[in-house]
Amino acid sequence: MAGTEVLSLRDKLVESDPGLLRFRQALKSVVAVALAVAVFSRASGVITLFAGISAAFLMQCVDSGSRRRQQASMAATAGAMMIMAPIASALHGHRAAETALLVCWAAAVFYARRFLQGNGAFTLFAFTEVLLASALPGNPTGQFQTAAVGFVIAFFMRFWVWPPDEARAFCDAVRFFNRRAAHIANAANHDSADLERLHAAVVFGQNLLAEHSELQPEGVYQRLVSRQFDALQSLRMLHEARSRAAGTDESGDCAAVRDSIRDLAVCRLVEIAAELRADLQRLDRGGR
Amino acid sequence: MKAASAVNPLAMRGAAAAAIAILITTVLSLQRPYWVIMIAVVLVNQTTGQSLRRSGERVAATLAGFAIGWGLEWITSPHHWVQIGIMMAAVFLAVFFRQSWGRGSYAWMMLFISLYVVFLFAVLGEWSPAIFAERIADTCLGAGAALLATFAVHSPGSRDRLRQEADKLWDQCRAQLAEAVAGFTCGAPPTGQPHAALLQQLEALRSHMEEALYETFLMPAARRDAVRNFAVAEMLCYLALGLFDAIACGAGSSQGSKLRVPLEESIGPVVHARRTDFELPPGVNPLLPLPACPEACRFAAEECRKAGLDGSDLIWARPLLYYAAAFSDALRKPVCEPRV
Repeated sequence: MAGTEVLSLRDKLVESDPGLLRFRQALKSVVAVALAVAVFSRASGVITLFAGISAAFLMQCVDSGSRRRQQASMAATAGAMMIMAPIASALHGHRAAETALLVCWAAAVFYARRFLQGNGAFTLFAFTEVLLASALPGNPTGQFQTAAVGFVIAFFMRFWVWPPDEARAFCDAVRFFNRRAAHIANAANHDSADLERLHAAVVFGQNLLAEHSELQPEGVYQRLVSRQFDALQSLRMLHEARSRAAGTDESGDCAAVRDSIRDLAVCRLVEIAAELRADLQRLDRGGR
Repeated sequence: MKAASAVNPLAMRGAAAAAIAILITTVLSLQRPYWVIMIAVVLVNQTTGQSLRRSGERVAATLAGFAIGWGLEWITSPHHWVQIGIMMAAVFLAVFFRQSWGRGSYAWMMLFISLYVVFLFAVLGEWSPAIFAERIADTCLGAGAALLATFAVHSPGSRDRLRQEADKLWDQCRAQLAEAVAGFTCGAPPTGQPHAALLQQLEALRSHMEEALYETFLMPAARRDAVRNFAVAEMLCYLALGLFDAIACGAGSSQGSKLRVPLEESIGPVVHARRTDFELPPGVNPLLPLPACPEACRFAAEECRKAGLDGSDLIWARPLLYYAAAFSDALRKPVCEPRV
């Protein structure tokens, strides 16, 4: 009999954020904002504000895909901001022109998704930057400078300083999956929240593969995700069959079927666990 | 490159949302018109359900974030550096909760963005409760503009997507079922593991169903229909996956051919049926609709006895026949009675 597995604080953090991808992105975004604000600390309040906003926004402006694609998408977004924000700033106070610009720009940021691999939600940051440039009293030169400096800082912070390690994040997610799966399989009783955590780990791995083509989608990574899905399904069946065993609302034949389903799930899990372990060891050795 | 047909309506909705928001801000002479315009544009989404869901989350998170921020601002008001620290912490947490790598939460991100906005005004010495009221009103106006744009430029409904993708899922399921059963009865080794693809599709369906609930919050019948559509698709998917597992486990056994007749008789009509031919009453767990499925259980037990199976063969044979019979039962009538 065992409840939810107890993890250390660090393990909990790594489980909820494998490879600390989101933690490092958040930390670097704060540092990027601080750097941009420091660069423009002697400028007017609005320009300093835009410096921080540009750096924060551009840190998030990357498409899914290879590192090169991420860099190209950030550069393209920064380029668009460097052109559009000064224009918007120049149009500040000209109501009709501002309206035309914003309506066209809103259509453009959604249309840009056509050329992106991911969902392209980040293009909305470019819309917001231009909207603020048109609404707040800045100046075109200042807008260009803050966007340019924001880009340099964001590019440096995102890709050079403590860059995201997606391969490691994937392995972290698989390790925690194995640990939780073994706990559920061996425990006579467990918290159903464990299954939700397992599900989150699989979805994370799957999304990571979809977003990063350099992780060789046809290789061991893809196989690991498929096996995790298999294991998750068997664990759900096991959980359900065990829960049913505690009840008394079943006929003899139904109880027999339920027990067979439980045994089938265990049988499948043993098979999948061996494959998962072998693939993870292969990854640890650097093989694909 | 994505198809123009997928992107053009979204671009038109974005432009419409911006235009409607600008019109609203002009008519109402708002102090910060850019709040309404920004919120209207960022709440534009692919389907009506998605837009409604995001709008609801945004209004609720902004309300909560500003309320918490107001309280924290009151506590920390004399300490400028503490306020700067809270503002930076809010930026950190907003980025941390941004949806990326398949994790994150829009509602939490918005809560921390709201907290950031409160402390930005506090640090600039401009915070007042009037800003709270103004932001909430502008968020509601922006959400309203986004929804108007959603209805002005036709958006596909989440219910339609749910139905279409549920049909697609069942079509794939039944093709794989036919192939797996034919292979098993011929003694061929099982081909591939369809779990990942089917479960991913089921995830997408779940998301459409949740969005459909937002679309139908004033239409109880449509709401029930959306829930039922998803429940049936979920049950069919789980029954198929269970059957595939049993086949994978029993593929090496020499006893498989003994179950050929009952298996083919049960699955034969199923693979020719449409998704809408199946039924599942609410309240039954689609993963394992056992408790009041005595007919499917009895069928599985009897056929195993007739075939003279025992010992380790029962581990795959009973589930195999149970899943096949449960499919067949769901065709004629609700697969199980609601659980008590």
